[in-house]
Amino acid sequence: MAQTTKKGNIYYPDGAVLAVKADGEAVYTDVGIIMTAIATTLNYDVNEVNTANGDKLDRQVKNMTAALSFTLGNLEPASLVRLGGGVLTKVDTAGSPISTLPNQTIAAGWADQTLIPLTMVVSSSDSTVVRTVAAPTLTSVTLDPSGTPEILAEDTDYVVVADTHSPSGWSLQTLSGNMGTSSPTTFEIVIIYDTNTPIANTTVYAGQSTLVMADVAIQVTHTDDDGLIRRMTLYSGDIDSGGLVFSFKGANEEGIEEMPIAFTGKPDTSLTSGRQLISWTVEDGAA
Amino acid sequence: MMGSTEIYTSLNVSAITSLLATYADTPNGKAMFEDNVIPSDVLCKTDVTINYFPSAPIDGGLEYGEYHYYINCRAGTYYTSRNLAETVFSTINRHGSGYLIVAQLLSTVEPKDETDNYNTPLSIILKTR
Repeated sequence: MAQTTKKGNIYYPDGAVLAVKADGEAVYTDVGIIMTAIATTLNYDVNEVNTANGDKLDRQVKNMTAALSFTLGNLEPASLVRLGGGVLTKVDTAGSPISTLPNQTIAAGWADQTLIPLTMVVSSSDSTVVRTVAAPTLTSVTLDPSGTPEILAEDTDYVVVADTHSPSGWSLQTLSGNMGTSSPTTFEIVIIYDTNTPIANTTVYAGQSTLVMADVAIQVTHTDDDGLIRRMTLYSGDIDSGGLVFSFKGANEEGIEEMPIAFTGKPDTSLTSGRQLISWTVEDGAA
Repeated sequence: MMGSTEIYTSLNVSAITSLLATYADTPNGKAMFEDNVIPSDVLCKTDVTINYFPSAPIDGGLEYGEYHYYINCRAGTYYTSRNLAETVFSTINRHGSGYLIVAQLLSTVEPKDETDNYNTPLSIILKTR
């Protein structure tokens, strides 16, 4: 017979979002695809004295650390720089201006106040994705262009925001309440791009004689279909030596290019004692 | 049946049911059958159907529920069968409220004769508490 019916805290393996906050940043940024489990192990040194003529003395622990490891699949330079804690720096080199960016149509039925990626490609015959350092210049954004056109105004009817999830690095978020057209979400939106200058390449650099590493915080979050979360936060840590591996797999290997990452968290003494290293939060009912 | 309630809940959404034929004798009036055999009055060449059934033993030694099912997505053409299966896959894979389904989308199987139709199966693992 079953020995217990206590299973309210069973959780289903479903991956998690790993987000990083570099020193000086206010928010955590999702690093993208992870190829393995994300494991955090609590470690400490034990001091336990066995006496020659009495009871064993109390166990004392010190030098608490947390070892966190995972394998990164989305090798975004900005994420690597965040994880690097100052070991890596990034330089974006601009390319030549492109005036042939095709129009983008957002189909009717778009969701309001939701990030809609701005997808720019080189031309109608070249689908190479164009990313820009600065927010792209839009000649016009028109609602219902084939019916009763309404020219939408930036910062009134929509905003353009940086979005690392967007292929271009930028997304558009509508503010339909300010639009004049009735039921605006039922009409398509056409974006005409002006000449924009793409990022030609991104280079990550490393190497100096000495460096004081900056603290990095990591947050691992699973969100279930009901929006309930399980979250592990590592407040302060540094990437381990050997924790950044740049590799090029052979054509005969499986999967995708990956980067194993290893981190060591240490207590953040600015936080309350007993709560300086990690936290693990589970919302009631989370799966 | 064990696991079938959660699977029905996951499949009984408009994204999926809008692609199915109507069928009077099911709870949702759609050709969605908890069975490994399609009813004989279904028109295989025109009706688009789903049927689902257990595909592996239920392990009584586990302390949680783990159920393996096949979900067959049947239609008269390759494209319709495949499209239904991909819709089911994208709708139910790694979703569930209080449970989780992880799906694998398998290759489409062609009809074996003129009375048969195209079948694109999914193999799923349902985990519950």
